[in-house]
Amino acid sequence: MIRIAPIGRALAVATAASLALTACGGGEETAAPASSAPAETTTSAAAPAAGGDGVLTIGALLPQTGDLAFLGPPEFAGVKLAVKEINEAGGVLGKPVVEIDTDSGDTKTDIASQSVDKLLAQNTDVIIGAASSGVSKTVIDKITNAGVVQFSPANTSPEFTTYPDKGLYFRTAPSDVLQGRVLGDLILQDGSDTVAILNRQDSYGNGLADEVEKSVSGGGGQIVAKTPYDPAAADFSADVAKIKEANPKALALISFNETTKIIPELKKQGIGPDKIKIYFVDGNLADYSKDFPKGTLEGVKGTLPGAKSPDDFRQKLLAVDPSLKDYSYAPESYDATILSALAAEAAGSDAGTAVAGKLIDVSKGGEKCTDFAACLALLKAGKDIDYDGVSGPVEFSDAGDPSEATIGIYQYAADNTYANVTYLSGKVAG
Amino acid sequence: MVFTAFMGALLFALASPAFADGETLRGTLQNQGQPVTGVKITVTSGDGQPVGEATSDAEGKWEVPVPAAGSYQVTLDQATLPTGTVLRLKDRATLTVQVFEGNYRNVLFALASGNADGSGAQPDDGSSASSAFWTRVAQLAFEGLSLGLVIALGALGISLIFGTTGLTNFAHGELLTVGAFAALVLNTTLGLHLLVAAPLAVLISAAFGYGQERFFWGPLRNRKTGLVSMMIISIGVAIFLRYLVLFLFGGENVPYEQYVAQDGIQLGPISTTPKGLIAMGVEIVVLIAVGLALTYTRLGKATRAVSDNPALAASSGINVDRIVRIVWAMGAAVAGLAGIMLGTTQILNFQMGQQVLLLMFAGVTLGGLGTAFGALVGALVVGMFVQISTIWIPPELKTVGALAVLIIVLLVRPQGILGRRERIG
Repeated sequence: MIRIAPIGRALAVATAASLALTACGGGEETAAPASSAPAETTTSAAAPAAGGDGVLTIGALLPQTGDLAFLGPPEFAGVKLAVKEINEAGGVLGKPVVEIDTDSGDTKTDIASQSVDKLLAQNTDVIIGAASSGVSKTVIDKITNAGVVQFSPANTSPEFTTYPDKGLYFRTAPSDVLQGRVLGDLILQDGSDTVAILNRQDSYGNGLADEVEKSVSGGGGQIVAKTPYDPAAADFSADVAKIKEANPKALALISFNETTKIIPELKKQGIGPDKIKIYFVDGNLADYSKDFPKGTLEGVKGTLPGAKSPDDFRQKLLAVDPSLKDYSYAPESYDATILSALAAEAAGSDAGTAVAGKLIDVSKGGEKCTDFAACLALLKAGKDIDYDGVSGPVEFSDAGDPSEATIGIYQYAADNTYANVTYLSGKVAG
Repeated sequence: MVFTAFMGALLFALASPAFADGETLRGTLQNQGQPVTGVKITVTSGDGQPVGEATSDAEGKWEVPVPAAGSYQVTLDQATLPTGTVLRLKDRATLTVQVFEGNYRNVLFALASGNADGSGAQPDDGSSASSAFWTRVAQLAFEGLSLGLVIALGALGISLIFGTTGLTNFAHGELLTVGAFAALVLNTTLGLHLLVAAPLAVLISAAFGYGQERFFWGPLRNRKTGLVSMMIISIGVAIFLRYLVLFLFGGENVPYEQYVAQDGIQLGPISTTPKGLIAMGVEIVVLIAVGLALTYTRLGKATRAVSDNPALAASSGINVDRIVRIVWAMGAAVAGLAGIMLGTTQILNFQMGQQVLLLMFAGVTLGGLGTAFGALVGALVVGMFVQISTIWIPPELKTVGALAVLIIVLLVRPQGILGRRERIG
C-alpha cells in the first residue's frame, strides 16, 4: 500500500530535484556565463582538436574546503587580481578572460574530480590548481587527457617533474627538492645531529620527507626516525610515541592542518617546541594565534617557497579580498594566471595545447617585463618576452618546473605568528 | 680543473673575501651545547684535490669557501679533537657533501664526550634504548585505554540501538560530532566555560537523539521500513549531518577556548595531560554508571528485555516505544559526551565522528552485536590494539591491526566475545 499523499510525492520529487541541482551548481562564474551553453557541454573531449573558442577560460581549482582550506583565500585572490588586471589591459586575443572558481577539497574527498568535470564541461583552457600535490595527482590525467593545461601555484612534490603529463603540466612553485635541501641545511645549521621526520603519508609528505632526509644525512646529521602518518587518523599519540622513543634533537613536521592536533600531542609527551627544535614547512606554516595559547610555538622555524611579496602587491590583493590574513602562494597564483594569458596571446589561440606550447617561451629568453600590460604591448610589437613575476624570475625548465626559486625561512614569535628571518635563492637542479 | 683548485686554494690562503657570497662549506662544532675549538677540517674536491682547510674558532665555527658547486669531501681530523671529545659516529669523520650553486652548505659532525679509543662514546646506550622502548610500550597502552574509552562511549549507543531496534546506525559517528560542536557553540559563541558548556551540550545531544527517534526513526519503523533501507537511510543522515557541520563551521580544525595545548605531566613512564586524565575519569564513571543502570534499575531491565525480544517485552506490559526513545536519548548523550572528550583531548573537525566510526563498529562487532557489555569490552580491545600494534606495524597502518583482530576473532567466535550464539531454526 502506497501511503504517500500527492503533496508528499510532489515534495519528494522537489527535494530530489533540488539536491540534484545543488550538486551541479556551486561553481561561481565571475564573468560571461555565456560560455557554458548547454550545446557545448559535450564537446570537452574534442576541445584539444578544436583551435579554442576564442575566449581564454581560466578555471581555478583551489581549496575552499579541507586540509588546505587556509591556503585557498590568498590563492583565489591571486587569480582574481591577475584576471582583473588582464581584463583591464584589454583581455586576451581581444576578449575578456573568463574565470570560473571551483573547490578542490582535499585527498579525503572526491570534490576535485567533480570540479574538474564541471570545468571541462565549460570549455576551460587552463586550470589553475590544485594546491595539494595529492589532489593534483588524482586529477592530472583527466585534465591533461582533455588537452587542458594544469598549472599549479603550490604543488611542490618532486613527482610531477617526471610525470608523463603530455607537456601540459606546469607549476610556479618550486619542486620540494629545493625546499627539502634548504630545510635540511637549516636543521644542521642549528646544530641538531639527531633528527626525526613526521610526515603525511601522501605524495607531498613523502616527497618532501625524502628530500629533507637526503639533505640532513648528506650534511652529517642522522635521521633517527622517519614516521609517515595517516592524516585521517583519530589521534596521533602512537606516531608521536615512536618519535619520542628515538629521542631526536630536532623534528621536521611535514603536515597540513593536522598540526593543530599534533603540536598538543608533542607537548603532552614532552617533546614540544619548548623541549626540542621543531621545523614547519609550507603545508603548515600558518598563523596559529587563534589555535594555541601564547608562547606555544615560540622558536619554531619553517620554510616556505616564494620570495617576499611586495607591499604594493599585498595592498592590491587586499583590495580584491579585504579579509586576507595570509599571502602564501598568492604571488604564485597570480603569476600562473598572467603567464597563461601571455602564452595564449603569444600563441594566438586559447586552446590548452597552444598555451602549453608557448608557456616556457614567455617565461624566459627575451625582453624582460613584469606586468601584463607591458608584456602584452611587447608581444603585440612582435617581440620575444621574458616575464618576471611577483614570485620570482619564473624561468621554466623543459619539464615545466621553475628552475630557479627562492625559499623563505621563517620563525614563530610568542604570539604564534611567523615572521621572515631570511630568503635563500637557488637553482632546483644541480 | 687543477688550475681552478689551485686558484681556490690560493684565494683561500690570501683570505680573500671573493667567495664570501658564493659557495661555502661551513659548520659549528659543538659537544653538548659547548663549542669545540681548535679542530682541523680539511676539504678536498671530488677527485681528491685539496681545496682548503679551516680550524674551528672560539665559537666552534669553521668555514671553507669552495670554487664552484659540486661534490666535496670534508674530513675532520680526529687527532685535533680535545681530550674527552670524540666523534659520536666513528665512521663519519669524512663526509661527501654536495654544494649547490650560489649557496652555502652546512656540515655537521656529531660530537660526544668519551675516550679516544671509542670505549666510552655512548656508555649507557643499550640500557637507555631499552628503557625508551618500555616507556613507549607503557605510553601506548595508556593511549590505547584512552582511545578505547572514547570508542566505548560511542559503541555503547550503537549497540543499545541495534539491540532494541535492529538498526545499524551509520550516523552514530555524527552524533559525536554534533555533541562536540554543540559544546563549541556554547563555549565560543556564548562564551560559557567548557565545564558549563559540556554538560549543556550533553543535554542538547540527548534531545537531538530523542528528537531523531521521535520524529524520524520511529515513524519510519511504524511504516514498516525494512532494516536494510533504514541502514542506507542512516548513511544518508550521516553524510547530511557531516556536511551540515562543514557548511556551518568550515573545514578547519578548531579547538575549545579552554585547556588547549596543555603542558604534559609525567606519571612514571607515561606522559599525559591533566585534561586527558580528567576525560578518562569522566568516561570511566559514565560507563560504570550506565552499566549499573542497565543491570539494576527497572528501566535498565526493561531495556534489556526489549533488546532480547521486543514482541515479548511489549506483551508483558513494557512500553517498547518509550524504551527505544530513552535508549536513543541516552545513546546520543553518551556519544555527545565522547565527542566533547575527543574535542578536548584532540581537536574539533567535521570529520571527527567519521574518523572513529569504523573503530566503534569494530568494537561493537567484536564484543557481540546488541550486548552493551560486549561493546565495552570490544571497544577497549580495539582501542588498545590500535595503539599497541604500532610497535610492530608502521603507525600509518594502525587501524589495520584492529580490523585484523576483528576478522580473526569473528572467524573463531562468530557471535563476538560476549555475544550469544544465534538460535538456528
